[in-house]
Amino acid sequence: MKNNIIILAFLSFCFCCTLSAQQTTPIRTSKSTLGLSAGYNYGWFKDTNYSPLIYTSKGRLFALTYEHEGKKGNLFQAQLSYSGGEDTTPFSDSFMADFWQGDIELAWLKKLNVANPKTDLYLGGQYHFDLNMNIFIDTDYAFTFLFAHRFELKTKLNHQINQKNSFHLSAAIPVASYVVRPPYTGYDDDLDANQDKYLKLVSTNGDWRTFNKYFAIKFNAGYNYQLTERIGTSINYDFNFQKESQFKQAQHQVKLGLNYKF
Amino acid sequence: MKNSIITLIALTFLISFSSCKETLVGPEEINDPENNFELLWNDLNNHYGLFQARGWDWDAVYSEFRPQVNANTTDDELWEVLSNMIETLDDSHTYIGIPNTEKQFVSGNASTEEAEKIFDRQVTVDNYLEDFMDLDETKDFSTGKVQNKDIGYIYLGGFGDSRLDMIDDVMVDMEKRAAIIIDLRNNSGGMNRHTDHIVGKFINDERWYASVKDKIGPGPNEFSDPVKKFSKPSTETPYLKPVVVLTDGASVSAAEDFLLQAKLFNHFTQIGDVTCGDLSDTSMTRFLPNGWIFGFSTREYRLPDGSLIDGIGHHPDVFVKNKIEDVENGIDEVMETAIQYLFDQYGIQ
Repeated sequence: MKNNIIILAFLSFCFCCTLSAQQTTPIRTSKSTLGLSAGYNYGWFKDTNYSPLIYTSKGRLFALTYEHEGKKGNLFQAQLSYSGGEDTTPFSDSFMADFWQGDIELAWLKKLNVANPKTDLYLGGQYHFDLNMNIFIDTDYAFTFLFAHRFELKTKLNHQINQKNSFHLSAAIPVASYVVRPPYTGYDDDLDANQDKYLKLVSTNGDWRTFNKYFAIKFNAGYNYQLTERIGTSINYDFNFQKESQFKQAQHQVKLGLNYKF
Repeated sequence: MKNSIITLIALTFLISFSSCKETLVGPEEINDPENNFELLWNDLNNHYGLFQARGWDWDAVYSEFRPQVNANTTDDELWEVLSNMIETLDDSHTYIGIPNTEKQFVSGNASTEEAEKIFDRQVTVDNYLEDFMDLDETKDFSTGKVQNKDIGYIYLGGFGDSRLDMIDDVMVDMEKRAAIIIDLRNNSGGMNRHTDHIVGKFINDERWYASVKDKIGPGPNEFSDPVKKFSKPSTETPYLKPVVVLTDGASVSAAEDFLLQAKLFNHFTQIGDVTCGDLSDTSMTRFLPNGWIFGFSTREYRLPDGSLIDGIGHHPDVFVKNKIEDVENGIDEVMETAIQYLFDQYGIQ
């Protein structure tokens, strides 16, 4: 209910912005874009540290994005996203768990030369903090998590179909990651001592890993439709996959959003 | 151009969505009796922390119980086999259960079941205490005073979810008493951090009381380096007058951690029965494809001299055990022994 109110408020705000944009219609090149989107997250995870079973995760998804184009066409991107919902398994209704996911992404992408004037190609780096938390509802005495501070190689392609329509594709893979996982037995004194100290929790007892011990990929495909000079809508599909020795997760995310250029 | 773009996007979606669950995260476990047995046995084989300390041969246990399970084994039969298998560990941190039902089997629970029969808290409250009150709904944290004596009374039925943060308020009243009885009978354990906080109200010195090793890998010898645990005062004005701790066969885990620390200080005396002897910590809840859950010990605690509490328990300074008929007649012999002890040793009346 609370989420629905937030979405409604957001859409109302965007509608007002649209009207405002139609009235003023300033003529200038927009360099920054702020976007807000909501959608659905569907995926699976298997974490043998937590359970031998595969869980299906379903839940809502919210994301706030910011993109700024620099003087040389290079991009700075930031994204904050949250998803929460339930993990289920067909083996028992009693095994239901809550999940929370959060992502913070900060990217700098250099514009590359491409022959096609309607197409922009970028390559750069990204810091990506990925938080995954799953807690067994029945007793809360079972949980698992994966916190990954990922330093990623990212590429993005934008293609302007016409004045109002465009699409983009991007992919990112971490080359080095600081990964924090529960201890082998799931629980220890450090976790107990730091359970209320969230910043310490996401950086305690982790280790640096590269491709052989932690692999992840995030793929994004999106389509934008420009309603006015400033206001646009978008639909995005994300595919996320990550795995390490005990943990595998795959997710499909679809989200609809509104963008505001300024 | 437009068609190729649409095709590209469609292909992207198709590839991702068609990537099935099994390809991405692996095959699902099979729900049959044999696989459920194997999963439980293997999980303990890889994670259980007390095989060496307690001298258990888990492979021999497999050889004994595995032939009792086949594809036609019923749920009831499997329950029986798994219960009997984990009973060999004699460890009340090891259990199997079915969520949202009463069905649970706890290994090594005989002393607990007996202790529950010979302790009736209401008998103690009605016949030996005054000004008694439960500090929260769990009834796991209660205070009072021994009738007509200058002896405070604290009941701790567990170190879990009760309002143990109220200990500071409790101590304001308790500190004027000539002695305190801390009743840990039927204490089901809980979080060690709560234990540390409460025992810290009664000690004035940091002392090494145990070393702990965690299981860190599947191999039988894959343990962390031992970490020394120290008792620490949690107040500047600890209670250092005589304290009697009452125990029984159901005083377990965090209650035994409490005693580990308390018994390093001379003003503590343990009266009652030998404690349960299960000090290690329980694993996270584990899951089986048939909808059952289980848990087990994951750590090895050793005293500074290298000895164990697991499987042994804390032996009291003064041994006394209630009889069922006495309890039925309103007599708590353990409580009476504690009151008499405080009079005999310290002249407290």
